[in-house]
Amino acid sequence: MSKAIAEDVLAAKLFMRAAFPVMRVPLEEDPAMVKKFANLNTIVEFTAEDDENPLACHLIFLSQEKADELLEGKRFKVVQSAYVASEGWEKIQVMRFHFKDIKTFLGVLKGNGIGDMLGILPPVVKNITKKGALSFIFLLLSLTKMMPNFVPGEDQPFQQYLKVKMSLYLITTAMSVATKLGWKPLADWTAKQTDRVYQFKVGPTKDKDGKEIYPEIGAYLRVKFGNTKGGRGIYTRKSPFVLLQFPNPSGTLDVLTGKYDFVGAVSHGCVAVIGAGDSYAVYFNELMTKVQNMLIPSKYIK
Amino acid sequence: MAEGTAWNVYDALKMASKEIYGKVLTELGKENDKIVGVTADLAKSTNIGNFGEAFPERLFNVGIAEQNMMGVAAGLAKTGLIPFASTFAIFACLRGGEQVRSDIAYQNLPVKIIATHGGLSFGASGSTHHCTEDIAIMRSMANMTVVVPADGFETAKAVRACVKIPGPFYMRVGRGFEPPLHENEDFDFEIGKAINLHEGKDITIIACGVCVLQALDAAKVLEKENGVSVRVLDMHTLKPIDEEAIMKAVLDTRRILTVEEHNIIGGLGDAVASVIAQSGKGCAFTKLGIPDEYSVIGPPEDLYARYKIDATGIEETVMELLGKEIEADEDWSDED
Amino acid sequence: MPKNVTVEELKAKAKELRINIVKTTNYAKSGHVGGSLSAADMLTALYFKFLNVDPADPKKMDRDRFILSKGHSALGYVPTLAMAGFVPMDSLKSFNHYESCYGIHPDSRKISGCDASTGSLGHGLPMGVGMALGLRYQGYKDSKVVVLMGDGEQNEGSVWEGAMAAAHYKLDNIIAIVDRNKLMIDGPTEQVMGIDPIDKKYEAFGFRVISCNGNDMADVDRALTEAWENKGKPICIISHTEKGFGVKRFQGKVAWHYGAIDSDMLKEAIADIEAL
Repeated sequence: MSKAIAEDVLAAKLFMRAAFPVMRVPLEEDPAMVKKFANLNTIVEFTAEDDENPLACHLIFLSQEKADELLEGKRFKVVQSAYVASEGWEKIQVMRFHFKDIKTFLGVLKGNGIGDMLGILPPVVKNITKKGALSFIFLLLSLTKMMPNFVPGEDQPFQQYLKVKMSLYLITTAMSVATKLGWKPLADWTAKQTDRVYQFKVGPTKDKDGKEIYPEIGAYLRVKFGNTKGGRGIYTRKSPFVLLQFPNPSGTLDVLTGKYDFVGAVSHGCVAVIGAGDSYAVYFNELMTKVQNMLIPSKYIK
Repeated sequence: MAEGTAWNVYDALKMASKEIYGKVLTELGKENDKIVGVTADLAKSTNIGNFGEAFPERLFNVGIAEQNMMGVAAGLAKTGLIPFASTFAIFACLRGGEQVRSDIAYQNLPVKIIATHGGLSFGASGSTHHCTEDIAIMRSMANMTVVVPADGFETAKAVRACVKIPGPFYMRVGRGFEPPLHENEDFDFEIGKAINLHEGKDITIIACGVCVLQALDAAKVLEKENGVSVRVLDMHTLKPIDEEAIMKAVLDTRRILTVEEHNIIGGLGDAVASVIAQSGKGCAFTKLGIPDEYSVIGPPEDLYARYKIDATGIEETVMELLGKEIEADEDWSDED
Repeated sequence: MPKNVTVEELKAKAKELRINIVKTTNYAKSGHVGGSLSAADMLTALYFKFLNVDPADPKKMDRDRFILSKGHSALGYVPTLAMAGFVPMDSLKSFNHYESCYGIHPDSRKISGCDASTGSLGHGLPMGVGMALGLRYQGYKDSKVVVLMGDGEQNEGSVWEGAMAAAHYKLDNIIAIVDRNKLMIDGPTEQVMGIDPIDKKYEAFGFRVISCNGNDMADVDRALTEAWENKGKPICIISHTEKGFGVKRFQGKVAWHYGAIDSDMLKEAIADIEAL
């Protein structure tokens, strides 16, 4: 066994709590995934060993029928603990992806090279005969769409839409989780703030005739005296403290992939910042970048 | 990246009060060659520089000399021109204040004073650049019309409207990052007429400037989460103040709360109180604003929270006034 | 274009003006008589020879502008306007009376021919700069803006803000005049708050500076002629005068910045003036 450094523990927890839930997006919206998982009922458990911070979570995938029976209609859920079958769940298949340490786990998810990615092989081999193993691997791989090196062009509107939605869901939840885990920069920054919402809003994707083909995307981070919440859609209870508004997914990508830095993006009209633009929005963006950098291969960090 | 007409909505939303001012003024300048501009080394900061770029021979920069600036504006007006004079609010109403009163207001000249960085919007720069007195000072000058628009769209309409006013005009805006209240320019705006943004029967919030959006947010939450029915009046014109709207609110709701980014002495609160007191009608009355002190420094949003002139502060105050507990949103679980 | 008027004619007019000043002071019971008398020659020359103004069309756009920045000399200014035909001579009797158009300081909204309401010192030159800019922008290249200031007034910072701007904008259509009578309310200017060397100061601020004896009409005529032909930068005339000039009792007296004239004193004053 080994002891992972604090940074890696945090990153691993962020993957489990913020990145894994984002799988919901391709699961529900990518037709290929919808087909693959239509009748699949399985648990996928992830565990990583560590002297001080052993980590475990499990993902629940259920067909609509089983979901109605066992989980109040919910077809996908991420639970932050090891899996123990409870009553009624005995027949549901379990895949256990076990990693000998946190470093190996992280290597698979954000490794710099093929060597790190190989860490996935042992768990894959172990579960290869299970139903839907390959489907799950594809789903896991879809998380790589959020990596900086995946930049779908204007000719791939669906990929653009997916990437932006996944990325915004990830970043809002990751920032909330990081604060809850006590990560100092965010803990300090949110400590004295009154009830504020940092809202992302991306306009719908339209075809060349102006018809809407993919809907608007919304995600927010709400803070209040150290409390945080990663939210979906538009927070309606009050006006956002900072609204980062993008015309469409294509425009959002220019900012997310770092084609422009924040200030450049605003002046190019890629993003409209409405609200506390000169103070809080800038620092929010800095913190966002810091959190993002914890979740991508180090070779992409400028 | 596509540019052009597809971006218009985003352009408008991107433009806060200060930027819209420069753009609208430039448009007006094209339509009317009697419009000129004067500034005291603040062309860039107040955005009147946009006008200056379009019409370099029509923007007169007098350097850091606000008294001269207002005197020059008066002189220009005397030759039949319509000068727009722009500087920070504190310098417009105090440094050049006597000139505003004796050269401009006393001679009833058509000078349009557009004061930027009003209230606490210049947060970190401290009290020497804050202005929590300008409404009080400008209201007390005879012949002066005083407007504090709620957002960029109202600023645009006010700039267009003020050209038609024969006498002097004072308008205060923020530093340029204020979020929009309205969705676009399709709403009625008339100087001297308050805008009823939200109907209600339990209490009326009368606000101006950045506080209007905060009041509206608070009203929506109060209604949805706490069952309190709140009327919100956007009192953009401080002088002449809409007495009718105030008295209607007094009679309909019997409780008035005023909110302003200004000292509680002499501003919107006192203007409203004066109308109510003179009417002889009783009602519950509370003022929210800067409590007659010089503010601490900090980002303006933090200052607004400190002085309870933001949505949260307004919500809390209303609930206190009604003797109720506020129903806060305490759901901190991250969504899927 | 200045009119064709002789120095002798102007001298006569100046005498007439001085008599009207002391008479009006008597109607008003009291007034800023010292500074009005010192500036009387300058006012006469301006309104009877140099200024392009028309009492029948007091607001014509191409006229020259005159700003009495030392507004408290309305006592000298309003009689000038009356003599020039802008207001009825008779109306001078109401000076300072309740609801009169004429008070200690001129109100441009109530006095025909008056271009600016003044009174608070230091406002005239900035307004003059504004007028000069406005006239130039609208193409009235020949119109002049004359600003008559006091010497105590030079203490006010806003005067220098105006001067700086006038030079910066090369406003050669501005003629600034300092009525240098060397006295202010609390005493001689150089004792209270010295302004000398005032000519060097205006030069340093970018003006062309000339001097004249402000109570010698020939010299006043010479200075104004030069000023009217000035080009390139704004010009300032330092007009050396004597406060209360014309009435022996008032001449050079600090106390006669402001005073009351009863009927006996009035007779004496008129006699002094006629003897000039």
